[in-house]
Amino acid sequence: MRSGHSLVAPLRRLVHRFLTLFRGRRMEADMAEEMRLHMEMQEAEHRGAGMTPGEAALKARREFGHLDGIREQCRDERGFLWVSQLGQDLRYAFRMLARHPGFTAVAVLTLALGIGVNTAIFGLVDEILLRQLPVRDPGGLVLLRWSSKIDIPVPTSGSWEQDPVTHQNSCTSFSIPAFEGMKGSDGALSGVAAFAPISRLTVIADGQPEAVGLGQLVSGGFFSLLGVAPAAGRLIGDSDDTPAAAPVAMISHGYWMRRFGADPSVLGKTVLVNHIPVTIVGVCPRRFPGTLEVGDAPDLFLPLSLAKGLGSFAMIDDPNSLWWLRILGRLRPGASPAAVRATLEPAFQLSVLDSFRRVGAAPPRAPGDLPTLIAGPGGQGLSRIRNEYRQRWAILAGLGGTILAIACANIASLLLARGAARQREFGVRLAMGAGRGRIIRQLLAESVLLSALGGVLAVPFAVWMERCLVAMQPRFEGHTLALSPRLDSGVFLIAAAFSLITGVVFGLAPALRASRLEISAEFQGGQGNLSGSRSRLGKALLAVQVALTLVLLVGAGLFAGTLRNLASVDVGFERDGLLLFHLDPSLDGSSFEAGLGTDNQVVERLRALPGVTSATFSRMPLLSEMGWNSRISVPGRPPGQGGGGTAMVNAVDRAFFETYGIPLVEGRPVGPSETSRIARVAVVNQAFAREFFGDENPLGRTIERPDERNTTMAYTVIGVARDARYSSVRDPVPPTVYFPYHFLRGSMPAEATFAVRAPGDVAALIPRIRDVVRSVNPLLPIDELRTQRSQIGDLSSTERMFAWLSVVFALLATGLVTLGLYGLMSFVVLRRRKEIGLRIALGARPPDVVWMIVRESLVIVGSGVGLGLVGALAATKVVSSLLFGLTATDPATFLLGCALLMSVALIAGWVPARRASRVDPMVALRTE
Amino acid sequence: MPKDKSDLLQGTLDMLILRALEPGPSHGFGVSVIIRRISGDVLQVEQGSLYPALYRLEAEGWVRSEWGVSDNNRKAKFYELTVAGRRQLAVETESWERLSCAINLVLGHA
Repeated sequence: MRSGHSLVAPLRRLVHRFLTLFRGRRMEADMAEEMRLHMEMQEAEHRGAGMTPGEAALKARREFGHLDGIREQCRDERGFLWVSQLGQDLRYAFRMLARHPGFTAVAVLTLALGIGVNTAIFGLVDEILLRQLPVRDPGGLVLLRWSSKIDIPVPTSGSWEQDPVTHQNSCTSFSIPAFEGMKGSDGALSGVAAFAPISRLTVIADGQPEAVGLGQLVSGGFFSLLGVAPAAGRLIGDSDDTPAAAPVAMISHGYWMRRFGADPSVLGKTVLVNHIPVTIVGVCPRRFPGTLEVGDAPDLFLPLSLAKGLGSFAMIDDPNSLWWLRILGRLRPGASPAAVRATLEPAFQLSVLDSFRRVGAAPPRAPGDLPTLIAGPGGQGLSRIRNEYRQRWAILAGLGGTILAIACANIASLLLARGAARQREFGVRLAMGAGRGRIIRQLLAESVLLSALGGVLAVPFAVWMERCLVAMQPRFEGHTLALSPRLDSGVFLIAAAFSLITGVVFGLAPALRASRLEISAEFQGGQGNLSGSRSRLGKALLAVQVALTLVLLVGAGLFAGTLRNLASVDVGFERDGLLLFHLDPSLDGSSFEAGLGTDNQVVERLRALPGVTSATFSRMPLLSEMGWNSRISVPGRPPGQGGGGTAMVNAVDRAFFETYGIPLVEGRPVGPSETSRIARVAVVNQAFAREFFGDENPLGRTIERPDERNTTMAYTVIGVARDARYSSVRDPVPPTVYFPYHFLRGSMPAEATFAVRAPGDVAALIPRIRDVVRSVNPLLPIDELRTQRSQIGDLSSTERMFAWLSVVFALLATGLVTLGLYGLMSFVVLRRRKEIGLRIALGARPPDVVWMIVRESLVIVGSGVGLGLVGALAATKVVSSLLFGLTATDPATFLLGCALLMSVALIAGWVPARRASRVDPMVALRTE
Repeated sequence: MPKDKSDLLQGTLDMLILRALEPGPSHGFGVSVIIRRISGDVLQVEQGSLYPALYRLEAEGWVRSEWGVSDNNRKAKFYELTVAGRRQLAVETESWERLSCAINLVLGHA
């Protein structure tokens, strides 16, 4: 009979009702006024019929009826009935939760945990993987890269990356002439800007030297292309990026706060950067992290024109002979990345031909062999590390999702059990005319309220958790992640979304189940056949929890095993009792010889320190993720058998082998005089001897290495050192050549990592080491001060994070499952009291009863374990690349996980079973 | 909530109110007077049903309301049929006629 012919009417009704929600007070006044006027008219009519005013008023009032009741009905007709009912539902839900504080506490804590973990992980994933640069229209930025079928005969300092789909290798570095050429081309891009990282900057401000980790060189148009507004001062502009311009710099907001206490007078201050006087002209906005790899946060931004003066790429005289610039462009509206290629490729390919010509290489014969340009998304800056670590964060998100799923299943089964306990209540409400929908809504209101409470509690937990995650220092190839965990609206939104979804997910099944109730059955003893199917659902939920827990346990076992295996690898040298630090004495522009003189002075004074066993320095530290490789050949041996190959290279001081504790198996180490003068000698390791000399004795033999001018230099092998790891704990020991430190002369600055060996507490030496360095050169900053052990530990920081998180998650999940199983079995025992009593009365012995219950628990867990094995086998395949020293199907780990869960089943079944076996049959049978 | 049981009654009341508003806008008191008069004092609409019905009809979009001044210069809230309301009146009248016809047939009066 009601309308509904079109869509418009219901929609209109909805809008009307919705609007009245917000016009509540006015409508209320309107309604009162209308009814008052109605009574007045009635009264007037009565008076017209001859009544006295008093009688008329009384009669009108009486005829109108129960005013409040009518108003209430009007309200119902007018507004959203369910909104007012929602208020009722929530009030009722609140009372129910308050009445069961134990249940509420467990549920809310469980939820806070699940939601908090996921909020934290999602917050980090957002920050690391998803967040765009805080610049104008980041979606319009493109990052240029090129790919080539042929070898480019020029060193490239940018990153190589393989496209996950096409497996095409591409590189992000370009030469200065390539960038200049592109700047001139007009078309799909409204502009291009170049930038490059510059590491190990030394800043002397107010006479205080400090090693700044990282800076970013930018072309003059960089900031205006991005559309960044300075937090203070001005931006670096085109006029700053010319050889004649006065040197200027911008500093990051973080550096401004940290180093200068956010003092505005820093603008115009002149500081020495690598001993060049540079004027600070501006401060970057707070959230602007630069455009380098994720986790890299440069403190200084300097114009490209300063690159050479700062010592970066100082060896490069010809701009064509090194490709080192990264290029960002901004798309014109509507332009496609393909159009970018058409616009810029000619200029790029011209510069490529130039590069070939300058290094004297033959240009490619076919024009089709020239490298081609690719314009990829640039809104996140450089993204190689981001892309490489995507999978790890996905795994972490998977861990988080699993714990949330377990929490949901856990609370669903708790609610189910409680629903069972509340059957009578629902029965009464159904019998009194409540609709099924109303009961479902009531239960959903309870679960959403629960999850909302959980969500509120999850926020501080998430913030804490995020801080822990960052504190675990997930490192990306030697870069510590520079993240600032913070409490922002994003975190709240994520927590709210997780709570709402969670509430509906875990509440729906129990609510649907609870409403499917036969009223009559509920009043006939209430323990009819329903209980069977009810606990079947509960058992299924538990089996799912067990399965997910097994996946977590196996993951935890594998990650913990990996960490253990990594820690127990024999690195080939004595890792304890070593303190490391880095010095670069050539930063002030002094010559290699002068720098090496400083290095030698420092190391001699270190050796003289009381308590120091030995001290040394080398170009490369060991196991720091840094590496230096070179082509080495052995004259007279065919290619593949020493005739040519790649080996790791290091330049070392005479005490290197002694200090690191790498014994020489043959020959002698680098001699004292060889460190400081030209000596064409080398020490190789066993792996090198095996690979390059086979069975022959390498002592006294000659090896050859091309220097940076492509001249082949010959070196005599004077010793063979025992194998020691170089840059990675995971990889097998690479063939390694140790040259005397002096070998670096002419190609590299005299920077070095010093190692000090002392028995006992090496950290106690730090103040004295600082004194030593200051006594040699008061302006020489010490950086990267750490112990060898912590440096090795940093290599596996990601593995450590996975191990800790997965172990903690797995234990939590096991705890939840234990609680859930115990609860379910107690419930089963309660439900079957009468039956158990009957059995005992009929002569069943207590062990029979115990076994009956324990068996049920074992069946639940057993089926969960079966399911979990399948899941774990699938899940661990994903993580196999992260493992070390064990396979993804490590039988011991799987067995341990299963055993742990089965023992949980035994315990959680046994305790209620014992209680059941003590049931007095008479009491049980008399219950009704 | 007696909603389910009074469904028929309510529908009939809706129809009567729509019919009372057909000649032109009227206030709540006027509607009750019109219904009483047209039905020859047989149908007396309780205020307790009248106002909830009016609010419901307004929420359905079949009537709209506006404050105005009555014949004897009193302030009153006037209700007026909307286009949808007229259509609804036609639908309800037709279905009522069918129903009453059928009942009459059953009772043997036709």
